[in-house]
Amino acid sequence: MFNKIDEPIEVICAFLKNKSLPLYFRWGNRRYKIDKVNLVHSVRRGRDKLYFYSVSNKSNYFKLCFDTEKNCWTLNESYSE
Amino acid sequence: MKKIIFHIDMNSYFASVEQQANPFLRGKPIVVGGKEGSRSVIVAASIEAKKFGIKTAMPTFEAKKLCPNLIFLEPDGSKYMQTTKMFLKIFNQFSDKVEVFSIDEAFLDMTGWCKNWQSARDKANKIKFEIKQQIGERITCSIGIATNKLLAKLASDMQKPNGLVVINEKNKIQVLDSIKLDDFCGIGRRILQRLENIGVESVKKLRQYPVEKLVREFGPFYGQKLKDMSNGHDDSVVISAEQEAEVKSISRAYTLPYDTFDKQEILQVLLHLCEKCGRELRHKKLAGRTLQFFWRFSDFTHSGFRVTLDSYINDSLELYKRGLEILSRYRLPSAVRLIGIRVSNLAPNSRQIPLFQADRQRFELVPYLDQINDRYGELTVKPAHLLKLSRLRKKIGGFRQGSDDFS
Ligand SMILES: [Mg+2]
Repeated sequence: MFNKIDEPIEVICAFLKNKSLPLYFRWGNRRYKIDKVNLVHSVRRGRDKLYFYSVSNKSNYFKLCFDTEKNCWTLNESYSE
Repeated sequence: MKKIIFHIDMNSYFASVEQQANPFLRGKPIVVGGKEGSRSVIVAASIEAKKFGIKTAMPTFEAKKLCPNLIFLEPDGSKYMQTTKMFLKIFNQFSDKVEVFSIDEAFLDMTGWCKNWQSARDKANKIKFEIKQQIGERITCSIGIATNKLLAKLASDMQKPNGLVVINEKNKIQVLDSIKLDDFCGIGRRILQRLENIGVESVKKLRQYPVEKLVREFGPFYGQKLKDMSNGHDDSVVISAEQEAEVKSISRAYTLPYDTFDKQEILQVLLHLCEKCGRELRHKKLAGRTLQFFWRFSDFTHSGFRVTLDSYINDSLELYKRGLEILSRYRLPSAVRLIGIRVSNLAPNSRQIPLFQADRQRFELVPYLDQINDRYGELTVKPAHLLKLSRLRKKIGGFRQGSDDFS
């Protein structure tokens, strides 16, 4: 079941040598652990660059977005069965 | 030297990217595009959806009928574009000549990057591995390997998903005889129909059919091309993105300092323009098939002729000969002020070896003439015709590059 969401989230992210990996995020008053980053892609909107992280854990898929201009994270989509 | 060409086709591309992003979609029939139950059409179907008979361009409601559990996804263009950029980056690590054929297909010229068929196979597996590593484990591709683009494309079509097929001299004819005519990239429904009308129903029959008759039916260019296809011949070149971004036509024009009726003078200028145009074509490793000769009169009206040839040319004298043919038949209605040539319909120069000895000598000389001219300045080595032109050039200003006056 897909859900379109567009809400700010708080993220704990690891910055590795050549990539960044979101590890946990807080949405509302729940904390979610990320098990896997499945796909990363980016989009340019003028000066702004958005990074999309398609991530999952055992029971959910999420699409997170990091806005490099505003320096903030949002949750865009979720999917669970 | 024999070439080694890869054609790489990503399998069920958009759907695979979605399954890569969301692991809960893996192993399930999904489609991209179209709103569920609407009259819109399917853009892409996953491997699982294809098993239900769902195809690209099928109306959504029809797909739903074939598979009631079908999952519908909105297309996410930027996701696919980005993923394409990622795999192209990988391809560029394997070859300097990568031609983007569509959002999920590319040709790689691997000549010089692998010694033999085995090392070509190893490279292909390495590419598959890098795609999995760098993009994701669900992104698979079918790779076709052959000595030209035509056969490489056929080869990648033969095994899906995750295929790796080599077509070489050993299995070439066997493969060609096992496919249908419209499996060839370039034979569409209309050509197929026309072939059937003359009794050519298979690749084998096409190979046995006299080339003269094909030429009569399809014209010299396409007739020969069909014949080549049936033999698995193709000398088209892998065009990299940089080459493709280059100009679509090359032109040179020159404004005389005075109006003239003197054909000799006009021809001399034309020869010079052809030489400049030819050199630029050769420098960019291009050849053109459509030539346009144009001139402007003293009253600013203009006129010109356009010809499309059967073959691609980039030899200056060859260009000039065509111009000469046209101009010598043409009666100038008034005095000429500007002369120009434009070569379009460009393709990478495949350097087909001319059949006739005299042509061959000239053909082999041309790159050297250009080298000398590059080193010692424009027109150091030039056809005798041009000698008088240097005098003319001294009298008047420089040559203008291109021309915005005509299009
Ligand atoms: Mg494909």
